[in-house]
Amino acid sequence: MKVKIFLEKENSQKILEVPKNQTIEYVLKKLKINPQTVIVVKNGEVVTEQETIREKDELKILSVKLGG
Amino acid sequence: MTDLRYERQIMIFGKSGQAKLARARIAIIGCGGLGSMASQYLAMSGIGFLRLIDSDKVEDSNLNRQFFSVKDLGKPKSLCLKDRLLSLNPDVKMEAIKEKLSEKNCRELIRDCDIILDCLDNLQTRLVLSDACKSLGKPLVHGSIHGLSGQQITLLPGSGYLRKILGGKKQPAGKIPVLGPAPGFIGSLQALEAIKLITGFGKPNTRLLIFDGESNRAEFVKV
Repeated sequence: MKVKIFLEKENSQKILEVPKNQTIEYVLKKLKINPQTVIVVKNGEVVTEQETIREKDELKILSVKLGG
Repeated sequence: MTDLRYERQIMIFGKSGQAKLARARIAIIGCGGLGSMASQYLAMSGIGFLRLIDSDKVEDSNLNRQFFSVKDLGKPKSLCLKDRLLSLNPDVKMEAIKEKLSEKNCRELIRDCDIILDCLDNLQTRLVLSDACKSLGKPLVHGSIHGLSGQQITLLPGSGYLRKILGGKKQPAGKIPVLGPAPGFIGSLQALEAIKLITGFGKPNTRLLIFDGESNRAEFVKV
């Protein structure tokens, strides 16, 4: 299945082919992104890496911001 | 308190709202880019009490974004900020604490405050603060920045607090890049959130605001 992914760091959108019942963790691994450095938003909600992805889900991968 | 000073905001939340501000106690954790901005608007709005907490001293590299002057270089940030805020509004009671927030002192430093502002610059201390706020049932107004971007959320008792957003994340190595208007914007929002909570006017922002000043994108996401 195809999943639409927005990458904040690159300000770009990607379509990724993801096997059924895969998790966010799989996507991050595929994109070579360290999960400790990003916040993942699925369909407008912050989710964990264990969250399963379904057809037509929209992901946003946002950089962790920690400065003050 | 003079009604004339606050007349424009009394138009928004009435004299009763202003009286609530005058009775409120707020802890500002971190007196850098976010804290120096948020605390100014809070002092100017007529907050009753501000506790300013930061263990750092003012450095030259702070002056692109933090409201200190060259005369403050080498002096504790919390004390310099207190002096500056008193010049803006001498009616506000203030306490400057020159300590690093830790698991040991955190609960004592926030226990007698109504609202806590997370204006910190590192993950570990943010989580210590968040856990303490959660266990004491204190509202935590979070803000953080990176470059031209930032995020803000108001975490209320009963929510998952910061661990739900930042649990398991890693502090990036080295200094974080930042341009002054980013903490200026997010720090102002933190002051706005605190004022809304105190007066009861408006709705708190309980979704995570993501603001990207580089590519002009802003959105609120559920947590």
